[in-house]
Amino acid sequence: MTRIHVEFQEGWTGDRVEVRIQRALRYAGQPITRLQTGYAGGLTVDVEGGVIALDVRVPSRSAGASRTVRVTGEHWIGVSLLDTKVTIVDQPAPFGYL
Amino acid sequence: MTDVQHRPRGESADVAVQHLPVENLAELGEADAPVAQPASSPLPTSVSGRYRWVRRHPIPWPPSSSDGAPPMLPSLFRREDLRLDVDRRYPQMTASGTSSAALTERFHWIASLTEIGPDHWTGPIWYRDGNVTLFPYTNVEITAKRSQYAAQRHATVTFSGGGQPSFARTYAWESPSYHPVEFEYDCTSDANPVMSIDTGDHPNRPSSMPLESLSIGRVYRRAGFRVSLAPGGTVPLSGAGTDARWSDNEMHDAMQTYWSRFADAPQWALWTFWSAMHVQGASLGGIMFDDIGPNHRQGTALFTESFIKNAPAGDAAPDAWVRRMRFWTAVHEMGHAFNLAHSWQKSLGTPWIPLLDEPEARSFMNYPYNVSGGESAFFADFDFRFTDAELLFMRHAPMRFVQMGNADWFDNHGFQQDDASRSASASTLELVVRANREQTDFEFLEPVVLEAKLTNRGTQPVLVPSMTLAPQGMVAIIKRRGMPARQWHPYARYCRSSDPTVLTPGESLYESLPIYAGLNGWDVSEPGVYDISVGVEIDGALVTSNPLRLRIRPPRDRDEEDLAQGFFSEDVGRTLAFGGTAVLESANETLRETVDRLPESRASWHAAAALAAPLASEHKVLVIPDTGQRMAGVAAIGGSLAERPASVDDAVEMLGTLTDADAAETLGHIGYRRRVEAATAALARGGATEPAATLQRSLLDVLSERGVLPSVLDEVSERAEAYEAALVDETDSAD
Repeated sequence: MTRIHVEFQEGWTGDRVEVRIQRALRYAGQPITRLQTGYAGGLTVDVEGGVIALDVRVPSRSAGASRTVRVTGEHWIGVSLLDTKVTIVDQPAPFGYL
Repeated sequence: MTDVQHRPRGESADVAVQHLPVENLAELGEADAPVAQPASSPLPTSVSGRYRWVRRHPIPWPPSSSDGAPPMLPSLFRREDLRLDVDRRYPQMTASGTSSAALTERFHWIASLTEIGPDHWTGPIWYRDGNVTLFPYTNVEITAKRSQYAAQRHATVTFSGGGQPSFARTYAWESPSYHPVEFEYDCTSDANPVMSIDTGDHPNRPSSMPLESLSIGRVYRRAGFRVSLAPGGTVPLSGAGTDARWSDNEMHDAMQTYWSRFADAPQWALWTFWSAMHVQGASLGGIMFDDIGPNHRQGTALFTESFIKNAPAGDAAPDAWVRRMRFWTAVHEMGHAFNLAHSWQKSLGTPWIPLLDEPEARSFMNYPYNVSGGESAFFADFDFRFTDAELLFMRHAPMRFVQMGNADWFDNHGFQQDDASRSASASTLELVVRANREQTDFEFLEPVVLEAKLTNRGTQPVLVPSMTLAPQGMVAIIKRRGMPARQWHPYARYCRSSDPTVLTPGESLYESLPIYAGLNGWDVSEPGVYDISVGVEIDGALVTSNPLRLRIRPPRDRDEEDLAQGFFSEDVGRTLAFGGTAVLESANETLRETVDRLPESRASWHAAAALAAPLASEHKVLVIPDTGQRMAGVAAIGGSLAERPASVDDAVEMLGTLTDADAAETLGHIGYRRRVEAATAALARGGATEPAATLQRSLLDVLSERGVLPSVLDEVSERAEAYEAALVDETDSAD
């Protein structure tokens, strides 16, 4: 099993967001970004390694994005929202917030 | 109101820096210890800094405008600051100014500058904030005078444009810095704080960067601040609980407990807390945690054992990398306390002016690892500075946007203390606003009358103008919970000579403060909670009171609700403020109705006092016949003066309802005495000596019961004895 950290980063102001990993709903909440750190909260899930299908939806803004992430070990995924655009970044190391 | 135009591009700040002679580095306040401004020094090679103009004397209204200046501000005390930013480190080729009238009625302007000659600049004003109707100008022209004597340095600004005649003002040199700020660093025992680094320790750096010992204080001095350091201390780990990780609430508690400057007020002071780890874990390297409560941005925290202690694998100098990262993070978090956003967030929220995101900026406010090429690309090109846009903000934006703990103007804070401007005499004076009652609760419809008391708390006598506490000279700020603050403007301004008076140690001046209504209408009338703060100018410095919180109760019954609409009118407000009227009949009708329908209310006592005053003496009234013609002159249409005789019995009956300690409490001791003595004097002049003596003696009894100063009681007693003696003489004569 591989540990995946999905972290809500920039642009979250309380809109409901739904996160599906491997098509299973893993998160439904209303994160709010603290502007001084660029971090709004996150979730950690353990999944079967390999290729991860990530889908993020923000119904109130008709916004969403999907990404296929190849992972070989613990992995971090950052999700941001700008107007109606969801952006996804990922890296094999923790994000740092200041 | 803020007025922003497109900011013209000026000379590149980088080019200006390259022109800076090396020897000028010594003048940049680089030493970590504060540098006292010498009385004289070699001719300065820079003119940038803060200049100030202060009007120190009362001005009548309307002003005579002898210097050609438009009547910008109708207030007693005015101060204008000029920030000239044309040389030294990272010049922004900008001038900005702030005008304060006892810290209200403020406006702020910013202009871009182009050099047109030696020590001579000009440029357009592209930003205005505050009461911009008071400041219509669109251009500035500035000359600076250098001198080896600091007292002779000045800058002259000529304002022009905006349809107004040009106007010049000369500002005296104050400081090479634009604003002061105090830092305090407190640490836990498991933290590894880094307050300074040697910039040459890590090989990844710009090749042109000077090798030096760089402290956090030096970074902010170069940004234009006069940095001072308060002694720091140790914060016990127990404050973090059993997990030894700090939550935001725990850090807030620590800030309130250990920060020597903690206060619920805006101030140029910042607490920086060095600890090991936040509850969020290793991913959080630092945070400006103070975003709750009414005063934000006063506290920042660093977590030295978070990810910032992990140098990249293979780094050439890992220890230096870690020190640099801890240092950099501290400056970054402290930048948030100055209200700087991340470089990639500049356009978000409510920027003070339209800003562009700068995701590649080489600034303390970026994340080094977020730029193209990552942190190695960042530090290879980073000069340990803020961007020009960030410096422009910190140096020239309206202070409330930058200052720690500040919020919207007058919202939650009342006055701002400017300790640097307090003169020696003003610093020993204490100003208190009070209600002279146990609970500061007022009935609905009860006009709120407070008392201002100025006391000499020093050990030496102090000379103050006798009219210091005159209502038109005081600034009274009224803040109702949930509403913007507003200034009370009394109906009348009295022009009286203000001879200096001596306040011996412990002695006080007193004045009544009838803040219920004024030129803005009924400022204190609706049920709710209000905070009242007052300030006066003495010897060029401001003395301000702590806020007084009072409550207006809701209406008790339908009668009070019914009367409110007529009571809270302009006419009634003026009638009460001026102590009565013989001509505003609608106001008198409302006041009579108040007395009749609410005889036990405090509002009825105010009404009775106002109704009694014009009855106690004969009145001359101007009678203008209603001819329906356009009035050419009073005499031309048969106008005349009529004498309306006194109604002594009616006056005495009204005044008889005021012989009660509660009446003195609601009218305020000073106002109560003035009203009663004005009436007794009028009665005595009209030959009604007996009621005059009786009322004066009742006044003495009431004020004695209220614990008024013995000196006041002596004066009241003296007058009572005079009336009684006159009565005896009258009786003897009759016999």
